[in-house]
Amino acid sequence: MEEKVEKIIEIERLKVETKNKVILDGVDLKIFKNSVNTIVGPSGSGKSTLLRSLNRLLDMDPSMDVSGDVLFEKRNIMDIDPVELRREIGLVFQKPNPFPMSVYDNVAFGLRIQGKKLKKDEMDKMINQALEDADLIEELGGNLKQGGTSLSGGQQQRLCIARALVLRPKVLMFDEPTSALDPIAKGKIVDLIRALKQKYTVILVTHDMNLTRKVSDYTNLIYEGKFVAKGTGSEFFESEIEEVKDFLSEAD
Amino acid sequence: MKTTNRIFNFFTFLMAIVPAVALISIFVFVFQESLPLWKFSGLSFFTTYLWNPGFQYQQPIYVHGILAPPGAQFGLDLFLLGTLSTSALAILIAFPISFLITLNVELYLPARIKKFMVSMIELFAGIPSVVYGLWGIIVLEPILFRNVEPWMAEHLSFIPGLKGEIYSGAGLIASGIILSFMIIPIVTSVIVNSFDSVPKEVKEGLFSLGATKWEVGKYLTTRYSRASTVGGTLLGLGRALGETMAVLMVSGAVTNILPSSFYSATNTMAAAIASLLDSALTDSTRMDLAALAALGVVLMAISLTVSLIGRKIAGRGSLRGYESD
Repeated sequence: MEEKVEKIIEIERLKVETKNKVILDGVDLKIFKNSVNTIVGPSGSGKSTLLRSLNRLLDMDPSMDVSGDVLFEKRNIMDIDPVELRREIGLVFQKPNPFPMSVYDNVAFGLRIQGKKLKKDEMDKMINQALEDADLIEELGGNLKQGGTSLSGGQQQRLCIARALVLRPKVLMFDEPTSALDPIAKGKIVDLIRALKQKYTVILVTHDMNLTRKVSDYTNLIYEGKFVAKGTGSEFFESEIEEVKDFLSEAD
Repeated sequence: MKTTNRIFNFFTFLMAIVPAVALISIFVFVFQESLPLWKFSGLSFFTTYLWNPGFQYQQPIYVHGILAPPGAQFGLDLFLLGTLSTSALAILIAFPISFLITLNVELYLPARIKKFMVSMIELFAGIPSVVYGLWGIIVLEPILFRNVEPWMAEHLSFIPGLKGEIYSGAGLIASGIILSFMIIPIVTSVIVNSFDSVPKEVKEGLFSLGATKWEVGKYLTTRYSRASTVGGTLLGLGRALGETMAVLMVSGAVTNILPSSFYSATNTMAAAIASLLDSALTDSTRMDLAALAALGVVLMAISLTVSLIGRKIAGRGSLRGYESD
């Protein structure tokens, strides 16, 4: 299976530590193109840190010491301008974080700071497309002037997805995207993630095994900063590895 | 209710109203003291810049039914102009510096150094203003007089107000610079605090959309925490308007000569009250004292208004609701 699918990100011996603690202990991982790559594991196992090291958000935190290699389309991410990298690898957070401005301005934000001079109708088109891809346009009834923070939690989360999509990233990372949402809103995100993998590579971090079962193509269990099990969807869930069984029984 | 509890409640109530009562009684006292001036000068207090205590050793005369030394004339325009211009210059200098300090402290420096920097900035607020004034006289004025102002007069004379004769280095520019040093700690600490209170998700969200540090800082201070930024600046302005000692020392403390350029000596309401009080006390008609009290009333009204607005806006914190672009 691994051989047939193209790899978009390759992580080699990635180590992240602070003065007192090793968060990621030299991990290797391959992220496959146009698939949902899931990283599961208990709280504090280093999942979120892993995501933040892929788009170099960790650079912002001087207490973190990062070593090892991350290759994005065969290029070391340390050789890529972080601003450019973050546009290629979008990140959606656990807690929806729309900015206090209209829906339109929220989605336009990334385009505007890019400094590209877009014509009004071109911009409108891109924003509408992003909102459509994020499955939000219908619910808003075309009213893009309403405030982003006044939407429901699930809608806010999809607005944040649209905000990332409008930049046409190659990879979209989700950091526990459903844990702050109710079951119905959650269901919509599940459908959305499935649809998104047609166009994008998805990296999903979660400890929700239901969500993993529904969407994951490649599942990786991380435990205390190390991957202890990797496998395709069904392989993973039938695994005989002790940690997987433990984790599954605890998660369910 | 137990007696001790009642006594305790009574004293907490008493302590709670002390500031309000003190504020009101000070205002009433100063206003009362200024009453003869309003009868004597009327609106001309606001329309002239001349300030003349009159001949105190001649027989006082009645003007509008009020006893005053002959030749006395009081107008606040020069002092008002000085107060507003020095404070405006102070804000113009202080705001960009505070903004850059905040960006540097929040986005570029490691946490350990950040703590040290912030406490250093706060220490600045504790330096007595007379020390700033002394520094202004000994260090700043000579530099302005010998180096900076001649250069400005030569190269920037196309800007209105920057053409003119250089007198001593004391004046609007020195006052504005000294005042800006005094308010940078206030403005900076309000902006830094509001920056700290922005949720981590919002900061990370901005970065993950490909914003640079500069863009993140600009957006957070001018849009997301705009209320705190404006409020902090107004608090600083409130401080600058009322600052007395340092300005008195570096302003040139002029009366009756309107400034002709940025290099001219100036004076402020607060500095004028401090410097003219001594001679005013020798006026047997108390008119001179009433005139200074009137200056106090106007100054108090302006700086209280600015501080109140500043506090109100800063207290509102971030604008979380909808903002149209």
